[in-house]
Amino acid sequence: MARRHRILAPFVGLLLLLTACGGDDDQSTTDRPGTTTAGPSLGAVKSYRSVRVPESMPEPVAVSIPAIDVRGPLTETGLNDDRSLEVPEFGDLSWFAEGAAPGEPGPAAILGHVDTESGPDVFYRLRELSTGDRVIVTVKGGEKLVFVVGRVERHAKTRFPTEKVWLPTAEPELRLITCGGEFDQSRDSYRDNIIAFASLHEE
Amino acid sequence: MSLLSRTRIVAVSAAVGLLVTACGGATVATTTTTDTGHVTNVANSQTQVTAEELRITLEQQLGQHALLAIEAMRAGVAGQEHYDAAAAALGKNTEDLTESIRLVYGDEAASKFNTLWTNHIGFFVDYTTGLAKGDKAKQQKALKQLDQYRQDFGAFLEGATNGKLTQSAVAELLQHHVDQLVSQIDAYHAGDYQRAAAIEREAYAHMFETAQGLASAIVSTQDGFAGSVEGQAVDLRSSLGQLLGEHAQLAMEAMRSGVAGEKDFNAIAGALNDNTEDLTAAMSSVFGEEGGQAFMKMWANHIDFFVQYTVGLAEGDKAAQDAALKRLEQYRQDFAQFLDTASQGNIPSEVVAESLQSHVNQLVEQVKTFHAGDYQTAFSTGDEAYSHMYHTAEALSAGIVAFMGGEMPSGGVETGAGGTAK
Repeated sequence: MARRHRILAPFVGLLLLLTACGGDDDQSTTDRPGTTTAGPSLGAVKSYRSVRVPESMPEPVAVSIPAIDVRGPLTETGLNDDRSLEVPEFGDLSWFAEGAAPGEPGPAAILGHVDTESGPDVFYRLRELSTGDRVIVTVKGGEKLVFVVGRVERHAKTRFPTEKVWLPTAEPELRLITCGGEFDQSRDSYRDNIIAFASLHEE
Repeated sequence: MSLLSRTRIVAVSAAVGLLVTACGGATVATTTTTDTGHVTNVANSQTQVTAEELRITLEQQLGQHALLAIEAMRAGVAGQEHYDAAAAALGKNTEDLTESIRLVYGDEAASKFNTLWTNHIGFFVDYTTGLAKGDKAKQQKALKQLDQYRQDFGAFLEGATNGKLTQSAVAELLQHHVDQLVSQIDAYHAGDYQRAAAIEREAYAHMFETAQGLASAIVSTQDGFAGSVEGQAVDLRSSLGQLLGEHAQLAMEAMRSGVAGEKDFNAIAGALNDNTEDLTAAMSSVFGEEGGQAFMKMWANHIDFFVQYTVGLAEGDKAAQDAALKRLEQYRQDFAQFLDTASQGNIPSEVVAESLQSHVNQLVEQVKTFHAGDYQTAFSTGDEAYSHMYHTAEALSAGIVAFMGGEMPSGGVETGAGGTAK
C-alpha cells in the first residue's frame, strides 16, 4: 500500500515542472567551458555533488513488547474520510501506514484494541507500560528497531492531544494507542485513549 | 545575539506564519545574593522572554560556541591565517552568552560566568597549542585545568539553579563536551578529517541537550518566563534550528575549505551531506515521501550552486561565479514556490524568498571576504548567517504547525468494544 501521499495531484505537476526546469541539476561543476585548469587542491571541490536521494526505511512487519507480553505481525490501517483513524480488526496490531514508518523521522503509530466485546484484546495491558520499557519493531528485511517508552498518558477522546501525538519530529518516534478509562455504554465507546510515547534507541 | 536584544512576536497562523523581530531590550532584572555568594532567584517579571525563547536562544548560542571553538582550534593547530578572526568570533559568542546569563541572574553572576567561560576556552587553546608543538606536558596541564573547570562550572550552575542542576550532573555533561572538542582536534591534527567532522556534529548536537537542561532548570527556579520549554511545537522549532544552523555552518566551512584548497574539504562536505539527509528526512515527515524527494533535490542543487560559486571564486572565473549566482536566484524562486504550495500557503513564498536572499548574500559574502583575506568580515558575516537560520527555523516551524493543523488525523481512536468494562 502506498503511503503518505499528502501532496495533492496539482502539486505533483508543479514539482515535476520545477525539478525539470528550475533546478538545473545537470549543471555539474565540471562542464563549464573556458575555465583554466584547476590545481589538484580544487579537484575535490569541482567534483562535489550534494547527496540528493533520500534514504527510505522499509515498512514494519511485526512488533514485540516484552514487558506486556505482546508479539505479532503488523497489518496496515489508514484514515477514514473524516480524517479519523481507521481501526484494526480485533486481534490485529496495525501500523498507521499514512504516517511515518518506524525508524523514519516523525511519529509512527501502532494501534490495537484494548478489548473485544467479550474479553481482552492485543493492547489490554498497554496501560501497564513504564518508562524504559522496550518496543521492538521488525521491518522488511529483518532489521529490528528498538524504541524505548518515555511516558504513558491517558487523555479524553474529546480532548485528544493531536499536536502532541502527530506533529512532525526530527527524530524517529513511536506512539502506541488504544482505548481506556470508563466505558460509555450509551455510546458503546471508551471515553479515553491510552497513548504510550516512545523514542528510537540508537546503540 | 543575546536575549537582551531580542523581543519577538511569533504568530503561529496561516496568515502570518513569519517571524517579526524587533530590536529592543528586555529589562535587566535585579539580583539578590545569599551570604554564601550563590545567586538566588532573580525577580524576572519584567522580562519579555518566554520559556521557549530562553531555550531556543541558549541552544543557538551554546551550539554556536561548539562550532566556533572547533573552527578556532583547527585554525590554531594548523597555523592558519584566520585563527585570530575565529577566536574573536568565539569571544563575541562568549559575550552573547554572558548577556543571556545577565538577563536571568544579574551582573555579578554574569561576571562570574564570563570569567569561568573565558578561562575554559583558554584551556582548550592551551591544549591545541600543546598539540601543535608536540608538547605533551602542556596538553596534560590543559586537560587537568579543564577537569577543574568542570567542577567549578558545575558548582556555579548548581548555585544558580538552586540545585536543580547538580554539580555532578553538569560536570558529566561537560565531560562529553571536553572529550568531543579534544578528540576532534586530535583527529584533525592527525589528518583524520572524517572522524573530526563526525565528532563536530556530535559536539554541536550535545550542546542542545545541555541548553535544554539549563533552560528547564532556569524556568523552574526563576519567575517571569511564560510558557514551557517543552512541547511538540517547540521541539520542532528546536530541531529545525539545530539542523538549519548546522547546515549554514558546514556550508560555510566547506566553502572556506574549498576556496583555500584545504585537505579537509571532502570530510566537511560529507558532514554537510549527513546534515542534508537528516534535514530532508525531517521534511519528509511533513510533506510526505514525494514532497521530501522534491525538497531534497532542490536542497542538493542549492548546495551545489554554492560550491560552484566557490570554484569560480577560487579560479578567478567571474563568468562561473555569475552563472552560479544566477542558478541560486532561480533556486530562490523555485524553492519559495515549492514550500508555499506544499504547505498550502502556510509558509508564504514571499517570506521564504526574502529569507533565502539573505542566506545567499551571507554565504557568498563570507566566502568572498575569506578568499580576500578579510577574515574579520568573513566571520562576522558567518555569525549573521548562522543566526539567520534560527529566524528561518522559527518561521518554518510556525508554518509547519499551521499547515499540519489540517493534515493530522482528527480526534481519538476507537480501539475498544467494552468486553472487559466493569
